[in-house]
Amino acid sequence: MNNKLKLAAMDFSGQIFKWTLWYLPIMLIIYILVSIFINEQDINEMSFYAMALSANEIFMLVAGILSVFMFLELSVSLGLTRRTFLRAMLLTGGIITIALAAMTGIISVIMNFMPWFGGSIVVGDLESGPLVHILGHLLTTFTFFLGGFIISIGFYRGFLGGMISIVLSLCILVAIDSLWMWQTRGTVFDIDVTPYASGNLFMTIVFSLFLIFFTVAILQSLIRSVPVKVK
Amino acid sequence: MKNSLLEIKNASLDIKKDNVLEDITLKMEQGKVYGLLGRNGAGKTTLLSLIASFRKPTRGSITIDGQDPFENETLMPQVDFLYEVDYSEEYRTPMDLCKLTKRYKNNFDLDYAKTLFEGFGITHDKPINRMSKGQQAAVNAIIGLASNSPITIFDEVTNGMDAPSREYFYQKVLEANARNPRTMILSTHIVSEMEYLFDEVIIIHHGRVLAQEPLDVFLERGFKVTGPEEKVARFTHDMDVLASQNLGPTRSDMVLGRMDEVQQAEARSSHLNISSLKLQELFIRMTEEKESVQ
Repeated sequence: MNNKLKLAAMDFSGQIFKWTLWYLPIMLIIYILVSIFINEQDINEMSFYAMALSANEIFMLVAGILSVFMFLELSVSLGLTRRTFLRAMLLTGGIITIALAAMTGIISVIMNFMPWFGGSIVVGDLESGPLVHILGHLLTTFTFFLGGFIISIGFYRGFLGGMISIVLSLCILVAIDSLWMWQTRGTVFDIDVTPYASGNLFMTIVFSLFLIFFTVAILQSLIRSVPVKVK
Repeated sequence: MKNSLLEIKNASLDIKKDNVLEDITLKMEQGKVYGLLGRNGAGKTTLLSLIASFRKPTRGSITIDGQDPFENETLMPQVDFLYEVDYSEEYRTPMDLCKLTKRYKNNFDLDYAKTLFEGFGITHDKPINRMSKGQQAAVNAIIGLASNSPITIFDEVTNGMDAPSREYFYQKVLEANARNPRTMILSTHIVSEMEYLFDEVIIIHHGRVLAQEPLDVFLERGFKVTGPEEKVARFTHDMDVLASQNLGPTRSDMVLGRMDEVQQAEARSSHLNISSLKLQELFIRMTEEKESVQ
């Protein structure tokens, strides 16, 4: 890894990390309010981690959508190539995905010590084991970041490109989400598929990685010679 | 003889169906200050963005020391492109930006940047979005001057600056180039103020290069004849007159072209006053929308 790539990954991660320091406390406040004021057993037993799962994915999608508009012009102005920019953003996505999951987990553990808050993740998830669950969450969240990144570069190139990138991104996100729902809960689009088939962890990981590489290849082709707009 | 650093050969750029730049050929050397002039929409910023690898030409080539800078990890940091930026969402301070630039551009001189902040009279620890437009322009100018990049491009960087700040910037451009010779490209609409900075002038019009010449050679392209109306009219009768001005019985004609010895003698015998044109006058006349001028 060259020095510029390291620097860029550190700088981008630092910036997006600052956004997480806004996002997580807001999520925590929502969780506390929901736990205190809504009197439903499922919700009262739910951990912070369980509640923040989907929100983390949306956060990473938004971070991806902002990425090109926030960092591309600055990067090229600082003499970074588009290739280095892309690699730095991929590293950033990975770092933030892990950091966000870790912080969410730590907050969840701390909240679990308090008697007013629940500790359950999701019933179905317990069957597949915590490691599989964490792996699925990390891969899905990272793909959400990549999906946002595709939308970002699509709209940066133009309105039509943006609309096409939304469709493409949706297909990728639905695919990875369905893969892991099938793997961890045995459902696809909320339909119970366990009587017909069960998920194969190895194949789920292989397909997830294939989807990620496919998305990165699209990103590479879209960003290779993208014009940086001035004024 | 200095090495040729930056070469643009037959570069064209199409954006969608528009032919924004057409067949641009330019050569720029280290240690010289180039004035890039053109009317609004002529393609100045687009040309500069090609040099800075913000865009790739549709046809033709751009090379720095013989290599294409586009996506070149070594050459891209050698070019600094400063232009008017919307800083309304920029919460960092000017010093933060300088330190960020220093991280990526080893030649950036942080101490010199601090001296320039004092010279411009602006504080470097206030968020940029809370600064005036002129102060923000000065921040851009400081980053460009302190970067010491071999190719430094200022695109209308003095927009919004007050007169003392502009004057200070002009001094520092000359000083910076003397300290650390580089290729400086200044794109501006304030031609009259910046004329003395330019070693060479590049005029771009409707996406094409109209001229690239040393300033003194360029200014010899035309002259001004002043004197009694009838005598001036007779003298310039067969010449390419760009514009005429009358003040009472006195007439002043701006003429494109050079005088031969016979014409010089005739002007002397007719007691006509011959003076050189200002860059701004020549630029305005050359880019006026008249078929005869082009």
